[in-house]
Amino acid sequence: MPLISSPERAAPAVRRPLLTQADKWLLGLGLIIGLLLSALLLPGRERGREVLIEARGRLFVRAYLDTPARYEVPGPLGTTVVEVREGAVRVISSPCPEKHCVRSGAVRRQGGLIVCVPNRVIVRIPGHIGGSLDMITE
Amino acid sequence: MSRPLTTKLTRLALLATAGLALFLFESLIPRPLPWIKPGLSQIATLIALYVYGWRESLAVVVLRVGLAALLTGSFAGPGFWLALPAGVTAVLVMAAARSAGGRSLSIAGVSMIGALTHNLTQLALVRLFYVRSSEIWTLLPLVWLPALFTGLAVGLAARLLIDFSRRMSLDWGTNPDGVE
Repeated sequence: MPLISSPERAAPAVRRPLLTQADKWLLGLGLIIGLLLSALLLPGRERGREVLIEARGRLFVRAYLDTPARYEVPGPLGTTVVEVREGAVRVISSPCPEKHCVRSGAVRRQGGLIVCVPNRVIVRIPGHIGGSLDMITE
Repeated sequence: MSRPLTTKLTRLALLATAGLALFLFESLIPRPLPWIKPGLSQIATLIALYVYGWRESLAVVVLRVGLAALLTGSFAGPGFWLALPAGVTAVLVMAAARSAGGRSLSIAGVSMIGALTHNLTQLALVRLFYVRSSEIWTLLPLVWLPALFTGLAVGLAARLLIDFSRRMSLDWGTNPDGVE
């Protein structure tokens, strides 16, 4: 019995290069698309004015970034604490297991976003998405 | 049960377990940015795809996601409902890319496509079910660029492991269904 029973379906031949021409084109194309997306979609330079906090898919509070405050937002797992301070908003504690929202840090620019999927809390600074696009076209 | 089939089932079980171990290991690594995950467990998925076929690869993914959810206590939670469709879609798209790309696209290229698919699916699901506003797309470049490089690294790792298994004349068993 052969040791590898279906060699035609098994690994690519050892001699083949690690990256083919098509792989390199794909990588290059992916990089270009990624950079374009960054230019188009990353939050712009403009500071946001207000912040929306949504819980369970509904607006919980609309606040102003220049007004320091602390909000206790209820979610299915418990309370997410959101703090507005020094023109920025951050999640300072959350009952969710992975704490992505806490580690997202502070956001202050238009288009800024913090999402806690497990506790269904969304903090976003509304505004024109594609602020960086303006930067390019200026 | 024939011996080659037993071998294959054993290998698949080991691949699913290896994927699970990599997944749990990865969740212990501190990450600078929360939305960037290396996706090490996809090494096992890719090996299953290339050694056996898309059905086997799908089985490895579903087993891994299910077991990981049971072990971390997040079964049927939001994380689970993001991970499962993303994993399944990634396998299907990778299988399609593999057969469409033929010999010109290597496992590394297929893996890059898989990583992008995985992240785009998750983002789209978050957009559809959790954040019903277009602000979510500000995360798109942040998941796109890392996925390109993690996909590449994962693909190369899978490639080296498959090559290594061939040099060691590892018996992968048979594929009686003739899938693919």
